[in-house]
Amino acid sequence: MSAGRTLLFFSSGIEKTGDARVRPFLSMLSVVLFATTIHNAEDGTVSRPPKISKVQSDSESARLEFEVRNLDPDVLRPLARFPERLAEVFFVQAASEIKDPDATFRGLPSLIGTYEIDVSRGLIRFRARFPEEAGMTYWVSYRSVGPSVKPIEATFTTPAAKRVAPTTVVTRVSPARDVLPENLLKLYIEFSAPMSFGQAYEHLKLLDSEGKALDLPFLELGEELWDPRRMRFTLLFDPGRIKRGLKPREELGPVLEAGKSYTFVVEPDWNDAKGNPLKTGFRKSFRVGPPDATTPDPASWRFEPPALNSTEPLLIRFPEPLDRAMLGRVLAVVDGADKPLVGKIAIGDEETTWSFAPESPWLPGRYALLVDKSLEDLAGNSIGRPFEVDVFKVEKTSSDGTVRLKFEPISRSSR
Amino acid sequence: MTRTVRFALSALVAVALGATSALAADPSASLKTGRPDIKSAGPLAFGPDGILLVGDTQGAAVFAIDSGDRTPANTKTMAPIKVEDLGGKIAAKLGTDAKKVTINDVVVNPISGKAYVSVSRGTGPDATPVIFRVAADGKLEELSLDKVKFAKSEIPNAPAPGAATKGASQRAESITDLAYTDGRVFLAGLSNEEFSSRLLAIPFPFGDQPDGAGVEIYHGAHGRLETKSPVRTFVAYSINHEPYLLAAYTCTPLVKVPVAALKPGAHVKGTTIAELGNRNRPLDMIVYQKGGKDYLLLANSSRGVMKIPTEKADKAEAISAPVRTETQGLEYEKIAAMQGVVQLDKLDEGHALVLIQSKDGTLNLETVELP
Repeated sequence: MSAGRTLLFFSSGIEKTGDARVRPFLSMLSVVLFATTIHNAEDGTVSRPPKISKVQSDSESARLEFEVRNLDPDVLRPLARFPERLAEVFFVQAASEIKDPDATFRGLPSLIGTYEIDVSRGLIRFRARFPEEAGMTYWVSYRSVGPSVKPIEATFTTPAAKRVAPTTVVTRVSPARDVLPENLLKLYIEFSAPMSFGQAYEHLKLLDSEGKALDLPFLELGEELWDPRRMRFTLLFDPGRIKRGLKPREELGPVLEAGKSYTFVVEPDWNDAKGNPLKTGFRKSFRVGPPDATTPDPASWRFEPPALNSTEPLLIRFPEPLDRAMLGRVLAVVDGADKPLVGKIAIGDEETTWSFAPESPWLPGRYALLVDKSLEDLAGNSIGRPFEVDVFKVEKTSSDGTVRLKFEPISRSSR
Repeated sequence: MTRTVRFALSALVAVALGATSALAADPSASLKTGRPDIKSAGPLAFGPDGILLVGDTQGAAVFAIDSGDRTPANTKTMAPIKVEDLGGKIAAKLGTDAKKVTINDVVVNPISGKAYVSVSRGTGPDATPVIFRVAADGKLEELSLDKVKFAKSEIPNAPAPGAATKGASQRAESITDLAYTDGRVFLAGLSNEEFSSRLLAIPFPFGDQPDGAGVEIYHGAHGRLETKSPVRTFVAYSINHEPYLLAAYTCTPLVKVPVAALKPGAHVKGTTIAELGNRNRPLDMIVYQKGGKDYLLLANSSRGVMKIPTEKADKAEAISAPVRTETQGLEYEKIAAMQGVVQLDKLDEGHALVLIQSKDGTLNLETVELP
């Protein structure tokens, strides 16, 4: 920094709008600066008029910066002493979809960001906290001080976002079966790309056999249950209408009724994370069978052991479909020393099979499948605990802990 | 005032302040200066001494941030706060469209009467968290997260044996509510996989990491059928000088849970004190006193607000017969004047700060008299 140049950085804590509230301060400052302004006029120097411009940023940083130049250093000097007031002098407002600019920008709060003031160069620069957005108009104002100086304003508009053909689709809705229990607890909707937040429930419908949408079939949570990638959405049926003995179910009955048919609909106008709608909607029709109140029983699972010295998968068949998401998380294969094997999991046959192909060949000896007792079926019955426990009939339940199922690879000759 | 006098005075003040903080157990002393790596700003609550608690679902953590806002309001009655089109104003400050801004929670700092709003800028997984402070004059000010005093407590993920054999788990736990009472931060989390909810009690100031087991909360219908019951929203409440949580389940019953029972790994069944009917899914609630009586004010999904006297909560029997009326248990009153309330917090003894969604979707922040 060259000597004598005052370059200061300030964070604009309190933001102010360009409305009447700022005027008392401005007039106060005008009085302070009045003498200075006259002095300059007498000085006879002809200075260039102040000019607002948008600072060109390199495309990588995508910073949004504006500056006002050619300001009288004598005007800037006191401002440098009151940096918190910079936001009243130089500020940026942003809006899209503007019909009447005056009505849109009057009283509109200005952008948050930081200021830089360079007294000797007669410059104030504003760096917005967030990068510029497509289709925005930025209204930049410099409310100068001094009786003869008019405010300077400039607008900058960024081009609207290019319309691109939608590409995101629903890749899977599980459970995959077309006959589901009356007390079905949840659906998973998987997408090919990250989705937007905050508009899930308005795009999800459950239709009866006549195509009429059911009233509030799902639990609507403001938090929306997404996976961390925002690519899988968990949709719970209203638990108040599944649990017996609760007011909502007493009044309206269960959402799904055995013997009836329904269609689950994902509407295509649900936006992905980039703001584009889905390429197509999604429909899944299913029939409803009786409720399922029994817990999954690992003793009933059929093991198809893999061949010794191969990397072919261990295959397990379940007598009923299980929760797809949990199948991907709560089962593990361990060796004789209880060390988890590294490999690949596959879930198939409408969530009734689970296979595990190890990276290294199966060795002679005993392996075990560890199953977390929290594993659920489609109705929320976990291995350790039914969805609804009749406390008069069941003594003790717990979803904690694991079940260990031993298996041995078989030699090819014995197959 | 001359400069000398002013200097002497400020030195005196500094000494006095230093003495106070050294004498009192200062919760903010446990905080370190830096930039908290908040990935999402969800539910908010105030801890002691102007410390703002922020639930971060995306980052699976709770942050305690020194708001620095400790100047008590001079009067018993806080100045009313009113901001029309809060969503639009926040969007304007963030340089984006109101459709790309989500207001996640609104709380009041009980010391200063200022409101704090947690916001997501953007709708994708990379949305930026922002926290605003709203003063009585309606001015919005960003709570800067640069060089603030903060502490972080990670929320332990539920253990699973499969974790070692596959790629990143897609299990996530949404923080549905947050409260501070009795030296602990209570947090309700709802899994996106297994049907269960954990209530975690994290001692504050944060020390050891909380036990991942947390507390499973159950609901017993008719004293017979017991189900896991995710908690939607809850408040701390004292019954006969014993700390309780009054909690509303996603399946609508309103229950009381003694704080003393909330021990890691415990199996806790809330005692149903009221059953709210269908369409009355709980959103947010507060407890307040009026005319010497305690009331619970509960905003629900039917756009209405219910006022429920809690005087019988200590005696309220677990509801053990099928329900016949719209709600059962404690009596309640629907507050017709309060429509579209989506967020609720107590401003002072006589007023609540509410975030109201109007029919066109506009969100307005308003101060209303407690009914």
